[in-house]
Amino acid sequence: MSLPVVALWIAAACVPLVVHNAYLMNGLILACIYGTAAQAWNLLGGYGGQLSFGHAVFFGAGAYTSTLLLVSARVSPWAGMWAGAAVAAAVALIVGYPTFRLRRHYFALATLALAELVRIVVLNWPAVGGAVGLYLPVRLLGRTDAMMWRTKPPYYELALALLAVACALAWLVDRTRLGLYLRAVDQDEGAAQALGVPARRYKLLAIGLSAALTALAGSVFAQYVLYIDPSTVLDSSRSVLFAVMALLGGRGTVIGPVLGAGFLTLVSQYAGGALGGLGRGYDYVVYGLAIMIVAVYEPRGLAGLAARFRRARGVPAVEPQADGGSGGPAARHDAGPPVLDVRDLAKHFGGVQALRGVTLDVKRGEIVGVLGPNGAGKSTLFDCVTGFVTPSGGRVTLRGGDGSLDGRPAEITGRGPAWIAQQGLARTFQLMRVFPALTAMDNLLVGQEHRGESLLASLTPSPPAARLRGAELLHLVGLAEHVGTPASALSYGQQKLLSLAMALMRRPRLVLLDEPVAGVNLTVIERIKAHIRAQNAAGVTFLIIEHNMDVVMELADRLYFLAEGRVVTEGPPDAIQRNEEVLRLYYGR
Amino acid sequence: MELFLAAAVGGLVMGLIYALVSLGLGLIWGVMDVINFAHAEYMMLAMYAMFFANRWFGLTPPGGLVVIVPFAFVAGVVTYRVLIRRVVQAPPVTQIFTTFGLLFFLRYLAFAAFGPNYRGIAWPAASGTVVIAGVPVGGEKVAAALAALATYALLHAWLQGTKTGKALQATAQNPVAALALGIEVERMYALAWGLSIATAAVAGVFLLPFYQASPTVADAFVLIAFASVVLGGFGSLLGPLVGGVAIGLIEGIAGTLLSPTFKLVFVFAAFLLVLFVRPTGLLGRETP
Amino acid sequence: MRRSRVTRREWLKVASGAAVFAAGGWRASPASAQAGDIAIGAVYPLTGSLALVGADTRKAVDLAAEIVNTPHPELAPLTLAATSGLPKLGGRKIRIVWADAKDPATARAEAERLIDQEKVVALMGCYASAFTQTASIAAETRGVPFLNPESSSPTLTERGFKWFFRSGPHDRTFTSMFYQMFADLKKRGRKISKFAILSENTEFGATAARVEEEMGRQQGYQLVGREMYTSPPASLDAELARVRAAAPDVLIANNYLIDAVTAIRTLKTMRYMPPAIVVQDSGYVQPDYLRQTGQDGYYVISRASWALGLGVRKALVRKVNDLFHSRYNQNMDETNARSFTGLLVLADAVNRGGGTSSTQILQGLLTTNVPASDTAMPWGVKFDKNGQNERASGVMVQILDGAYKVVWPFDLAETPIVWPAPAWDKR
Repeated sequence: MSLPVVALWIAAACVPLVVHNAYLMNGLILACIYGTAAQAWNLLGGYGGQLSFGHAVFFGAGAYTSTLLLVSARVSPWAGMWAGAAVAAAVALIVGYPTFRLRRHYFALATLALAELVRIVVLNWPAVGGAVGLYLPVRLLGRTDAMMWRTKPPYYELALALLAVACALAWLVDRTRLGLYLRAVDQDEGAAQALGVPARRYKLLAIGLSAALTALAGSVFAQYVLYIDPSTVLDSSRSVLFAVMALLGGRGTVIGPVLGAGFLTLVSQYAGGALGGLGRGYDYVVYGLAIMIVAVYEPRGLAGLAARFRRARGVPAVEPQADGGSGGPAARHDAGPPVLDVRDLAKHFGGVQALRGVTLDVKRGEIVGVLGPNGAGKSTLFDCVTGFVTPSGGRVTLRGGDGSLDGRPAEITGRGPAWIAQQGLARTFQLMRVFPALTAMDNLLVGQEHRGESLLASLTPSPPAARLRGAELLHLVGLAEHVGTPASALSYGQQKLLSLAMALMRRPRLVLLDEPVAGVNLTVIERIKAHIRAQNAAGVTFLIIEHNMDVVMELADRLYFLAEGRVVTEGPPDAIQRNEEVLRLYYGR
Repeated sequence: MELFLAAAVGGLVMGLIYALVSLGLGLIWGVMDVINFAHAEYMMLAMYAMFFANRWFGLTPPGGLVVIVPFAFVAGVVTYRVLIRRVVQAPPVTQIFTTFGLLFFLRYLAFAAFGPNYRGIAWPAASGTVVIAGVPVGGEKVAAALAALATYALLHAWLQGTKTGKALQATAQNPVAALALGIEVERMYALAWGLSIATAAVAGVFLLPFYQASPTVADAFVLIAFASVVLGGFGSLLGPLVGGVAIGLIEGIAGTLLSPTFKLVFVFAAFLLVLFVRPTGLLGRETP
Repeated sequence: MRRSRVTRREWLKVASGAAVFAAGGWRASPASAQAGDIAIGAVYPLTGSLALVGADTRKAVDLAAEIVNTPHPELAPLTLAATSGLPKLGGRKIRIVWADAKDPATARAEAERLIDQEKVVALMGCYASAFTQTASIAAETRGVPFLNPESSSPTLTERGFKWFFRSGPHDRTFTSMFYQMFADLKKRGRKISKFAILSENTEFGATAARVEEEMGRQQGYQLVGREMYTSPPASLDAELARVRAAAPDVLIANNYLIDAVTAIRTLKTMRYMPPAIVVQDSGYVQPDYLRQTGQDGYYVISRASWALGLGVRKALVRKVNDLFHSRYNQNMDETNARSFTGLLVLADAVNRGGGTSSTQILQGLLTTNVPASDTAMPWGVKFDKNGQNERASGVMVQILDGAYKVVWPFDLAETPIVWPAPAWDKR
């Protein structure tokens, strides 16, 4: 963190020396508390892209837990607030686990329903105060060990400290791998998983942190207001408030929630004060308009305006290494056991039988091609092998799964895509998938080695080795000068090359390419062919789906011909080309 | 047994009303994959419109329909043209926030214009009691339930029987193909919005005689509307109908027999269960 | 490159901070004041779902302030009516400074603002017990007197506060009236042994329900049903079906306006009427209740700390209401009558205290001894050691012929009580 920012925080801490107006202080305290919650929401909804409309559940969990512990067991809130954070995190994990696989809209609705459910239960539960709520013991006012003071400045400093922690956490997420992975998952979860990112784990980490932080804010809120009830801390309007603050200020940025919270709290306090007698909610009409405008024109809010002037980070120039491949001894047509072994693979979707017992294998060092008419099941085959779809029957075995070339085979049937990717298998997609809002370099960094990457490690920036590898690959595919360009700004051909580079990031044993030259011009086709050949020479095995006959004939050692979910025939390219059944199925002759 | 019957009949009637509220929501969701969080706010505005129609011109719901529904249709089209059109292709986050902002805007506009007071009207013609299976039900509620059935029937007939209706269905299933076939997808979307808000208006108009209008009235219906659509499933008009009736029955039966205090808890629990176990809903054919 | 981004962020932060300070400065100038007048703060819900109540309160309190400030000899012996301003303070006038209590946190912030910036010498408020709870904390920590005329939660005067006073009755007083009335009725031959509760579940309803249940059980009644719901309810069908199945002799209800209207309509549809419905006012005493239910809403019996019918035997009640009616074209109600009285009590305390310092006003409050004849209520004012007006009580009124008629205590009654209420087909 740079000096001016530090100075600003120190200045903020000195505010009580200058400001004595209790009304203003009240606004600032609430702004800091809500800002913390908004920042916490931002971790999940801004960086993670998972909109929660039920964050009040965590706010309330914190407030109720620390207050109940204080009132009934005389536990100091300094300890109680951490208990609240733990409760909130537990609830978050329990809720996140089943809901994260749902689409964005459903997650939002599920959180809304859950928060309402909890609110109604608490409302009718006398043991936790029910509708009457909980009053904090006013006799403890003035005791720091009870986190209660008679004047405002100590509350302000506490709330400000909490906000600083929240911002530090957001800054950390923003700068480190966690933020990168969350953003990638937000933009394209499947593509991130194909690169080995265990998406659910990071989303759970995000929601856990988010919940814990929100709970801390809730505890401080209770200690300040001295009264909590379901309508003040568990209400859906609270959830909405946090989300709106993060949105207006700019989600996915560090300063956004702070701006949003400051703006909304202080403006509403003063607008409310000024319009108190009128009080027809004019200010909220304006907020509604502002939200719509922001959503449509500048989704990054107030902070987005600042970010428009952002310049890209520099990257050191790198000498491309002679081989961008696995570095192992080159060995083509090794007669050893197959790297990929697919037996009787079957898959049906409802009444549609997409794969009817496909058997194929890919030997180390080979380039194997998969041909077939549309609807033959080629992409389904890939999806089954790479874990995006669970097979209805059959086995898929990957050899060398434990990291060494001659290692024991690992059965990967039905495992998740991220895990399979971590075993040394990479893929691209038929409808090419890159992360549009990430820079080219960041796209590659999403694909860095994930095996053994602990949660704690994800809170550090990408290691230099990964950046070096990324730079190498960018040089290799000729995108070196686009290091800082967002992928959406690249041409289709450039994106295609980028996706190839992403697949190679982790030095995979086996790369599955789904139509690698579809939709690009001849120059790019040649370049892609050259890359595949070069990688293969360096020891990378390929399984390629492709319709472009020239490319397939040139590159492949062997071909499989699929039709109607079955392997019709296999063999060297020239044999396939003359095969009568292939001709019939492909060309209808 | 008598209690159960009362609960079931009451739940069925309320369920039909929920189905009517959810119809428009499901329509837009199904046609263009946009979730309109502000749907119930339009219903709220229709309730106010009915209130003033009654206060100034002495109209009752049938008359109110004639006057208000066309306006509502136009409002829907305008909303689409001015706002929604810009975010149809945007990521879900943007869409969610856009309709959320719309919710805020409409609700507090109502606050500013009408104040927080509750407003109701009386509808003498329907104020009697109708006995269904031995259970007396308020006339106004029965009228609303009948309006719900009529709306569904009309919409169904229109979708199946007219060229435009079929075009709308085509757009819902595959906008790209529809475009290729010469269907003006933009107009279909605007039409869907118009219809959606129009049905919300029907709900509002018939709701007012037994449910007071206030700027926050949408709160009571929003989650239930979502739950109905999700529960019923996507892909057909029947989805929100089945979902709404199911919700009404759950709320009524579980509420009366187990505990009225927690009736919404039962509804939300059922909603969450469906989300986790079968997100396509009871009738769903497509993946959501 | 990095520096420019940070600089801009920093700029934004500084700019918003500056805006905040500027706003604070702007706010700091207090509202215009007449020289020498005494500011009294009033914190009430002026917006939100309770705005109607807040508006009615404002009417009553503003009228009371006017009565204090200008001579109204026709209202004598009403406290401070005959004189102009506060006599013992040289005729200085009082000025009410209003603030909006939107939620408990804001109520407190507003109370603090009124004390710190508007320099009010005392506060009154806030109708809803939750708001009163937090707003009074502000007063207590700053050592400023706080008078609460309308909140009914008993805990408010059980906190051991030094500066908090309540001029009106609370739930225990009200509820004990219920059971005293039941006892009297049983002596006259009515059968009352089973009771059921229908209540909204926020602070108001939940607290009241708890007291009702406790007292009922203590006095040997059997609780046969307890239905709590969230206001406003989409429907009360389930709750009332269960009540009917339980067949209570009396239904005790704590309902807000919409709930009350919904309940009556549902009962009518069901063709079920409990022998008696006894309520803790709120929804049932608002003018809109009768407007919306018409004749169907009759026969409900409510506790009231004030009733228009009292004017039959107490002229002062009638005269004050006439003045209110001439000003606002509506009658006073049970709630704002308490607010009206509350301001007079406060002004009286300031007057007798002899000064505007907190301790002087506190002395005035502690020595308050207003006889019932000097108020427009059926009771006088004297605070016990907890700050509760020990003379606060009430009457029971029943809605008959479109009006709220005093029916108990029997010696104050203006008309005989109708119990049991007639069934629907007999009306």
